[in-house]
Amino acid sequence: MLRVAIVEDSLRDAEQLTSCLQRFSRRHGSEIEIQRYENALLFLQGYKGDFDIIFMDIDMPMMSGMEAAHSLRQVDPHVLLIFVTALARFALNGYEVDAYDFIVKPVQENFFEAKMNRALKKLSSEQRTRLLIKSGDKSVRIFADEIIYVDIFNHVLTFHTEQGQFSTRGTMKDLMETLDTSLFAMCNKSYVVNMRHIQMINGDEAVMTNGDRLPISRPRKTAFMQQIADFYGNKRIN
Amino acid sequence: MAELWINPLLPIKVFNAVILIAAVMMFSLGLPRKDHFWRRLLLWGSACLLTAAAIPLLTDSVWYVTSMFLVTYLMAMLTVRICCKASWPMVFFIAAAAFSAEHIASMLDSIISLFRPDILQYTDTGLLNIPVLLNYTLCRILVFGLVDLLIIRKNRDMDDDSIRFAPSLLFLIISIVVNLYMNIVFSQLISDRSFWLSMFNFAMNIAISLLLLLCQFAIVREGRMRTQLQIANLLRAQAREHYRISKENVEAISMKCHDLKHLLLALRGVIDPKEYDSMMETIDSYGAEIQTNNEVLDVVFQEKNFRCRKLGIQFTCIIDGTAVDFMGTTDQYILFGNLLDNAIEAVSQLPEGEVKNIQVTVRRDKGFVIITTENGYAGELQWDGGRLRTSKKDKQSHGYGILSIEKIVHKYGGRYSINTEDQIFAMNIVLPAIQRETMEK
Repeated sequence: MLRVAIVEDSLRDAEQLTSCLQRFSRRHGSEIEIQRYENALLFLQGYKGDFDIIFMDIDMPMMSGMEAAHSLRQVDPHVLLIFVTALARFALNGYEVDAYDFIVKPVQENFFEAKMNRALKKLSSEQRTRLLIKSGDKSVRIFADEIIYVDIFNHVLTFHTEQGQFSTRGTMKDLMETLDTSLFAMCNKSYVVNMRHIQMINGDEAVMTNGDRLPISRPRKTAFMQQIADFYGNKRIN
Repeated sequence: MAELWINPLLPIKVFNAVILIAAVMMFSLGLPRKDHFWRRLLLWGSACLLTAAAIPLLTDSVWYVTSMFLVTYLMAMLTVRICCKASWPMVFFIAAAAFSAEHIASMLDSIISLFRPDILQYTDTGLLNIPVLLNYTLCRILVFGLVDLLIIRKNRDMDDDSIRFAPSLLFLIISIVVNLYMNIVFSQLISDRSFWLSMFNFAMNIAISLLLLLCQFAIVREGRMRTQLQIANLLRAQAREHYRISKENVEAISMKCHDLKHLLLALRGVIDPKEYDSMMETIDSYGAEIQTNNEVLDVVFQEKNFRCRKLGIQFTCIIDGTAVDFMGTTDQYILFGNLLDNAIEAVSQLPEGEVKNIQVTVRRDKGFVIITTENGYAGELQWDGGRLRTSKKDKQSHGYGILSIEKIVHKYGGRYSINTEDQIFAMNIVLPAIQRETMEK
């Protein structure tokens, strides 16, 4: 079941969004529980962190959606936040509060459908995959999203993770079969990187979030950059 | 009397006509066909074969014999014009290429027959014995296949504009001369028919025809690249000028709106409050700039905003304009101008009543800049080898739109992806953010 919060001062707009959600739920046969708050203060007071998606109106009296989002992020940095806004001719600084996406009022069915599908995909992709590897004589479980990169030298795979390094014997081919290719890409024949952990591309080097610099091989560069573009293409505002 | 027609040359003439028609049609595959294509090909093809067969062998003179074939060459060339929609330069171009290919095949055939003259040399029975026929056919299949693979497939997108009259005609003439006469000149000058000398002759013929063939395509490619570059540069220069004017306009309008508001404020209480509100709103709508913290983007959005207002299109943006500061001014203007133009074009084709909305986001994520445009679209999108094809009538200019987006994205080492799920067209560009000094020229 999907738990959704709608923070919206206008009853009419809230009802429109609700009926969109209900139609979406009927079409996809998924159950959606909707909780509506008529202002941001009420929402923040009762916030327990049990929502999957929050639809936040930007333009509300007392406390604007943007202010509310700032407060929300201090208690919950991860929840999927989607801004709802009337025709915006100005720029929204949504990136500051890690907004996932935004939709425009009155809500258009086709945009809504596309955005919901993407949001659900994102939610389900967050169910974390775990890898079991044999490092030395003990077995270690690591989360795929915590892997920064993996290198291979002399048939030894080394997992560089947020928790440290783990080595095991194996082949690149087997490794690539276990990893999600929408998240992992090869920058040369000995390195597989988690695209979420690429800090930046500096010429022919991928700089990782832990500061390691990995060479990108010439023939792979184009494909590698394309994979990064696809990765961010699916990721939306995040 | 009958020997005038029934002689060992007869099958050769007929086969030659078939091969030449096959060759020119192979090069014409990319051309638009005329109505009743197959009927035309069948009728004209038969005419070619009959004519080839009907030309009498009046003398044994080698010059006469050769010139008999000239008729077949010219008729084969006309097949292109008769069956396909092609300009004369195109017809000459195709014929020249096809004849060169045929010459290469025929010389290869001759070289191979040098090794087993006993069974492969043409005799009194002409082509009508199995080994000769096999050698003849296989050489053509091999050479035509290679030409198709290495040359034709890489030049599918050739169009009439890139082929000019004079060079094509020149290539055609040279190709025919080489085809028909070079071999003979050689054999007339040198009576020695030793293995190595013949081999040398055939090899030289192949080299010359190959060179002709490659030159022909290289010249066209070169010319086309030059034109594209010229157009791109022209568009760039126009864009720079356009940006200057647009910026002045936007600034002037903002200033006027500002003045008008002050004027209106002074009249508050004097005029009807309702009237006052509606006037204020109008002024606001023109004055309301999209604030992106980036001068170039402000101008682009403001400019497109005027156009969208007319078409009833809404804009929504979440933009961190400073994220693209590292790009050159003209690049920013062209990139965003084209992105918005494409989106506007797509939503304006939506049926009446549907909400026309374009969403744009520009944001930074770690060391990347991510630019996304989303819009609804009507109908089916057409893909052409992984490339999006336009539904716009004016294909030429739209093509340059996508092309210039791609060029700029690649210039900054980025890539883009397109997502068309749920009837929403989402274009997503990812650029590695670079230091300003390294890219600014």
